[in-house]
Order: sequence, then structure tokens, then C-alpha cells
Amino acid sequence: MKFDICVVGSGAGAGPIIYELSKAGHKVIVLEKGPWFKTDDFAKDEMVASRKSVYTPNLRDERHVLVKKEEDGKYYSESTYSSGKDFWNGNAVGGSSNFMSAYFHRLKPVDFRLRSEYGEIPGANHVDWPISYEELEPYYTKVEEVVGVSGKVKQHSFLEPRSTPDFPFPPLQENIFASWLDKGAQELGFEIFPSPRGIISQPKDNRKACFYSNYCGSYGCNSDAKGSSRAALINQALETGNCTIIPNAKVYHLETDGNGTIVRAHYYDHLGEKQSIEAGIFVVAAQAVETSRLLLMSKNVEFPNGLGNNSSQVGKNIVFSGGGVGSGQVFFDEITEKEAMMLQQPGVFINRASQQWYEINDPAFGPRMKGGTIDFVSEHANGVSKTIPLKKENGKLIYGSELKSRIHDYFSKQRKLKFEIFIDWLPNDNCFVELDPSITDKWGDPVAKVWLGYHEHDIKVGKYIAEKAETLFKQLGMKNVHSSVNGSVSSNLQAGGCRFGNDPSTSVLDKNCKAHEVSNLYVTDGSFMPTGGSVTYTFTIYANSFRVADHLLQVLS
Amino acid sequence: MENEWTNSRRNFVKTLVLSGVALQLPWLQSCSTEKKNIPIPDSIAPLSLDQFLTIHTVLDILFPDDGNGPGAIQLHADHYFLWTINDELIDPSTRSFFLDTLNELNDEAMRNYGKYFHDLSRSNQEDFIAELSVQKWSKGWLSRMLTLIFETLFLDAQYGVNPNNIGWDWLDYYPGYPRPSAELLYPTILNKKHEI
Repeated sequence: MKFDICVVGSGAGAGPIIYELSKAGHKVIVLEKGPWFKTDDFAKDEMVASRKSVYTPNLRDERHVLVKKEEDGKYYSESTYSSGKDFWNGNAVGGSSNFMSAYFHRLKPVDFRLRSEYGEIPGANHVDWPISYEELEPYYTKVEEVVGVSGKVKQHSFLEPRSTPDFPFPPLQENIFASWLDKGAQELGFEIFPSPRGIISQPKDNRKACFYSNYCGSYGCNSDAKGSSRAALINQALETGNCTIIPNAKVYHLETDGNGTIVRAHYYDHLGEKQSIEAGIFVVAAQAVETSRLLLMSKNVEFPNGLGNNSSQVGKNIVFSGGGVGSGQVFFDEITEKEAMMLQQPGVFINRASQQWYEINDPAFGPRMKGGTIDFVSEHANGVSKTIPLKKENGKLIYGSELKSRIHDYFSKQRKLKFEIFIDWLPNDNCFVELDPSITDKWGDPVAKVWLGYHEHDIKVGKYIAEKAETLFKQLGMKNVHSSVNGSVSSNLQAGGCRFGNDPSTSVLDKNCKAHEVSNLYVTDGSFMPTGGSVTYTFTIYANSFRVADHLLQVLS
Repeated sequence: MENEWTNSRRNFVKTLVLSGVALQLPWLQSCSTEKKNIPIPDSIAPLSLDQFLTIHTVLDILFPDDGNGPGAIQLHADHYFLWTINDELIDPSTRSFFLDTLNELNDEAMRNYGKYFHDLSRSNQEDFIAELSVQKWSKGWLSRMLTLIFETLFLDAQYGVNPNNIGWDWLDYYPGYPRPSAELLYPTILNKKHEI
């Protein structure tokens, strides 16, 4: 059987394509490398979610090779199997959107023209997007309605233009700390606003409202309130009868016909047997690193450097999210008993953000430049993860009664609150994906070798914004306020590698996310993004995928 | 790497001797005749009895029953260690690391005192662990044992740890909900059949 559309991957970049085309009556086949966990499978078990490789592959079977710059200025590579530091996110139907925290900020108009707005930065490869914010805005609105975004629009200096006055779902319940932040910000003249979340606060279709399970990010959602691709889109696509999902299907090659057209996708099934699927259009959305890897692996006579890579752009200019994290502590003996109880209320969210410094206009700091976003968040409730840092102090191992006292104090005498800084990760020549020449996965395919070079400008900007966040925490009287901004990578925030553009010599995809060199290949995960903006990517990936889905509907009609 | 390890062990022995710990051997030998009141699981494979008693003792020192919340043994950390090394999906190198270093620890005790670690007096066991906690070859292992203990403090009681939620109660800890049913526990969840 030949399908109309074959989609590789099922996360945020894939979901809108699957949803829209299935609903329009097209036959869609989805090849997903991971298993198919259903809503009821997502209990809140720290063992499953973060202590073992359940939602991600076993690193013995599938690993990455990461190349980092060390203090001596040289780059060193190490496989994630050796380091134990996983670079996978979520391999399952619905992809890593199952496990996201779902902070859904839109990009701003300036994010679409970073180069022309802020000029050249030596060593950075940032370029303008081939589309404008205005072209994507209707699709942000669509995501807010279809996937579901909760929050409250509040005017601030960098609020993006909106076609609707507010979010379709009211804000989620908030922790008392949110009101403290509001008060502190007012005292300082800081702008903060309620964070929009891709989590619904009221029921929608077959999805329940959030019931504040206390374990959100890194966990699958048991109510389907979180707008994962699986819960919000794929489940509805399946109801049309036009969508077929094959889980545990690892695609290893896209075969072309010698005339620039893909004819079939080859994959290993759950038994490790080779299979293939024929389709008219192929959409790859396997998350940025793995998408580049698949295209690079799909080399043949026609594409000796990899599919769509005759201009050697595939895998180049991968971006992550720049910035860092910070924290401060509130000690219960400095607040009332009632306040302490409310501060410890489980499950509810902080949901405050600031984009006052989305652009930095501070002559004392330098010329006008792009800044970023601060999200104020709770420390994750995971008990083991919270406790691990307590066993060491200044490199010394703490154990015995001293350790037990530290743990008890940590859980009973204070609460740690955090902030996360999101800024542009400037694309550069030292941040890219290639195939490792010697290390393979369990199927014998070369693994992705990811170069993680960062631009020093990102550190400078991140520290500037972190200082602002620290100021607010200190205004609240919090203790042990500090932050860490460095070039380390959050593997769950990846984009680029197949950037879109109008020039085939400098981009892989055209403005509709179709490969310049391949007649029926589309890439709809974050790979298309030439720059990432200063927010997390999922919302924009969803919006762009809805945009491409509209284009595909036109093509197919 | 091998040289590093050998040198570290040599320095460790030297430190012990200099600190006078090794001089207490005669007293320690008398301790070995004392009966231990340690419940032994029905199966302790692949550990020998001496290995099990040693890991039991190490965990007890790392997280003692000191009146401030449950100790490692009350949390069933010794059983959890067994479960962990018997997990078919644990990486072989991790299993080797756990067992090899456990053997190294006993070897060092045997070389210095002519006894297994678990046969030493409590105060000498504690001195021994204090030394191990700063030695390169053993510090990482002790740190991993602490992480195992943390898992027994917070994981679901269905894993055979944190019995009656004593870890949660001690810390007034509120976990996530819903709690897993038996079929969703690791590693069973990996075998779960998912129909298309």
C-alpha cells in the first residue's frame, strides 16, 4: 500500500501534520522509533521517569558522541555511554512533547530578523528567517486553541502582536510565591507577567483539566491536560481512521528514485527486521539532531553527502537554548506558618515570567542587542534528584548523620525556588551534527556526533539577564541567591541543522520547509529554525508545523 | 588508569598506618567472633555472605539509624543493592564497578587487618569509611551508594524500599500522583504490550 504521507517521528513537529492531513482525508502513516505509551501508562514513578531508561533508549544500544570545548580551548569528544549523560529526550509516540514542561511563549517579530535588527556578530552565523512573525501569528493562535494554551495576557514592553485578546484557557492555579514575585517586581519597577502554558486548565474534547499531579516536567501526563502531540493531536487523528502509527520503527534510510524524489522509507521494526513504506510525501520530524542524522545517513549516488545535502548544509548551525539557571531559598523561620504551608503547596505552579530584557538597551552594557526571557519556576518535586546535590559540599562527600540532618533541613526548613534564563544560542561553525565514523547503534548505523560549540556573546547576555533575576529574588529577601550561566547544553531544547531560507546554497529547506533538492521531502521539527529566539521552542515548532500542514493541504489538493 | 588505582590504594594503606588504625588489629580480631544480628535475604546471589554483610555495613554507616529518620537498613537499601545488581538491564560496567569496588574494600580490610570489613569494630569501620570517602578509587563508589540510598528513601514502596512510606513521612514528602500500578513499575513497564 502506498500512503499519501509518511511521517518520521511523532512529536511536536509531526503532530500538526498528522492531525491536519488525517482530518482532511489523506492516508497518513507514522513511523515512530519509540514505543506507544498511552495516557493510563503515565503514572508518577520517579524510577521510570528519571532513574532508568524507559522513555529513552538504553545508552548501551543507542548513544550520541558529544564534542565539547574544554578549558584548554581544545575540543574533546566523549560518547554518552561513557559519560552516562543522556542526550535523548523522549522516544515514544508523541515524542518529547509528552515530557515537556510546556512553557509556551511566542517568538517576537524581531526574532524573525535577528541579523537585520542587531547586525553581524563575528563568529556567529545568524540570519533572518524567510518568513515574518505576521505569517506565523495565525498558527500560534491555532495552537492556542487546538493544542490548548492557558494563561492571561498582560501588557508588557515586549508583548508580541496578537490576533486574539487572550488565551483560550484561564491560568492554572498558582503558588503563593507568584504573588510575592508580583509584589517584588512592582517595588523594583520590573515587568513580570503570567507564563502561558501548554497545559489546559479546563477540559477539552476527551482531555481532562490539569489536576496538579505534582510531577509535571519529565513526566507523561495522566490527565492529557499537557498538550503533547499524542494527547492533543494524534489521538484525534486516529479517530478519523486515516492515520496508522507504527511504534518501535526506527527509520534508517530514505530511498530516492534518481530524480530527486523519495520513494520509500526503510526502517527496522520492533523485531529488528527490515521493512519499508511507500508514500507520496515524506515528512521528517525526528527532532533536530536525529533528523540531520537520518538525512546524512540517506546518502546515495544522487546525494553522495546525504539527502538534500548537496550544498553541505545538513547538520550545520544546530542551536540549543542559551542562558542558564539560578535559585534562591525561602526559609520557613522567616515567614509565617501559614505562608510556609502555602509555599509548600504541591502541584500548583509559579507561572511568572519576564521579558523586560528581551532586547537590551543599556549603553553601559553595550550597543542595543538581543536579550531574553526569565521564567520563574519551582524546583522539581523529584525527591532523588533534589537530594543528590546534598551529598557533596565543596567536593567533599557528606554522609552519616550530618547528611541526614542536611536532608531533613532541606525538606522541612526551606523551599528552593528557581529561575531559568532563555536567550538565543548563536549559530556558529562549532555547533553542528555529523555522523560518527566509528561508533554505531545496535542496528549498526552510525550515531550522531554533536559538536556543542557556543558563542561567548551568549554567556555575556545570559549573565546580564541572570543578574536582573537575582535582583528580584534578593528583593524578596531570599537567601543563597545565585545563578549559573555557561555554555552547557539543554538537550531537550534543540533546533536548526536544516535551516530554511530562500537561497539553496545556504539553506536546506525552502520557506515551506520543503527540501530545496528533494521534491517530496519536508522537515517540520525544530530543524528549520535558523535562530531559536529567546524562548523554548515547542510552541513555535507546533505553529510552524500547522503552517506547513496548510501548505501540504494545498499541494495535495 | 590501572597505575592510578594501584597508587591510590598504596597511599590509602599508608594513610591508615599513619593514622594508627592498623595498629588496632588485635582488638578487631576479637570482634570477629561476635554474632551479627543481620537478617540475610533468602537469596543474596551473586554476592557471597561476606560481600552482603559488607555492603550491609557500609550502607548502615553511610545512612545510619541515628534517631533522625530511617536508616539505610530500615529503608531496605541492602536489599535494593541486590536488586540493582541483579537488574538485567543495568549496564555491565556499572555492575562491575559496584562489585569490584566492594571487593577492593574487603581486600583492603583483609590486607590491613586480616579481616573482612564487616568484622571490624564499628569505630574502625567508620574510620575506614572516612578514609575511603576521600580516596580517589573509592569516593565515587561511596557516592553511588548514597544515591542508591536516596532512591530507597523516595521510590515507591512497591519496589521493596521505603516501607510504609517511612522515607516520605520523615521528610513530610508529597510525591506525584497517580502512583504506579504493578504493571507500570520498572522493568515490567518495558515489557508492556502496546496494541496499535
